[in-house]
Amino acid sequence: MAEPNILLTRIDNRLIHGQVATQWNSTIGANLILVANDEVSENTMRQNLMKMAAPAGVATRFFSLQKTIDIIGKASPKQKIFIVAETPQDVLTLVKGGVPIKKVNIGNMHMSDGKRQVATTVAVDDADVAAFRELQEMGVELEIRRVPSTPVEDTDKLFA
Amino acid sequence: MIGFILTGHGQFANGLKSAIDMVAGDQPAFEIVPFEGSAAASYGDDLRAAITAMRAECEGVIVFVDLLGGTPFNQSMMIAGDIDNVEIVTGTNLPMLIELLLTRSGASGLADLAEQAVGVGQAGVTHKSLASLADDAEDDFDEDGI
Repeated sequence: MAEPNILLTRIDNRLIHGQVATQWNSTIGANLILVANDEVSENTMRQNLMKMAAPAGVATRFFSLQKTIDIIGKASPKQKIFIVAETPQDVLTLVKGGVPIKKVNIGNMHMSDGKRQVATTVAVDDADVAAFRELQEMGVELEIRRVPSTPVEDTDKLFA
Repeated sequence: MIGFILTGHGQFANGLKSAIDMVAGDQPAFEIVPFEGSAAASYGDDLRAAITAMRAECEGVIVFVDLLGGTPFNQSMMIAGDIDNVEIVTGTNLPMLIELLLTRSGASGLADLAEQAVGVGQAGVTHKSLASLADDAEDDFDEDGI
């Protein structure tokens, strides 16, 4: 079976929102935004709001992590997929489950108690760093970038 | 490249620009000229200088103003009478600018781009309710694929 055509995977607390819908999707040329998130997969309200945000002609799917792992191999070659996940731990689960993710864009990880700000819009705790390290060791390319027109920030900041 | 000038009453231009920075990042050939009461006397000259400078850099300029008939609009129209390839768009909103900043590099012409701005800006004004959301929720699944 052909490998699914995953153009990019993004970590973003806010999942599909303005930056993702208006900037990232058109820049990478995806026609399917796959939100891999357990909570949203069971929350119709959030799904409907995100469907509204998606650009015209771009399909959306809201799968749990396990469903994403189970189904990704059935993707059609015509489906140019943009995966959006909430946390590095979720992305690690996908990769360990066999989802062929090559590159991860780190967008918004909000500041909260116990986290430290390491880049303009990225705050991490030790568990996040461990997940990133594991992803890197599995050969996944990491990139910190808020929107396509902003510069890439140094990934070493994650591990400092 | 077609250059963009954004102008409006009070902090309209500053505020809209900060929203664009957040969603789309910093943009080239995009300047703001706020119209504030404290600097009202020099506003016309400031706007003319900004449009002239942008026009010198770009093949054409669109001036995005907040309000049809307001001072930013009136001043822009008079300046556009003196400088060629300057178009004015009114009722500027965030969806309009986000879309146009993405599409301007492939635009076929200045007037077409200004028309596109109007269409996108109008399409961005909607009334949504939870009930209509559920109705719209159908998604086309391909026969193959996920």
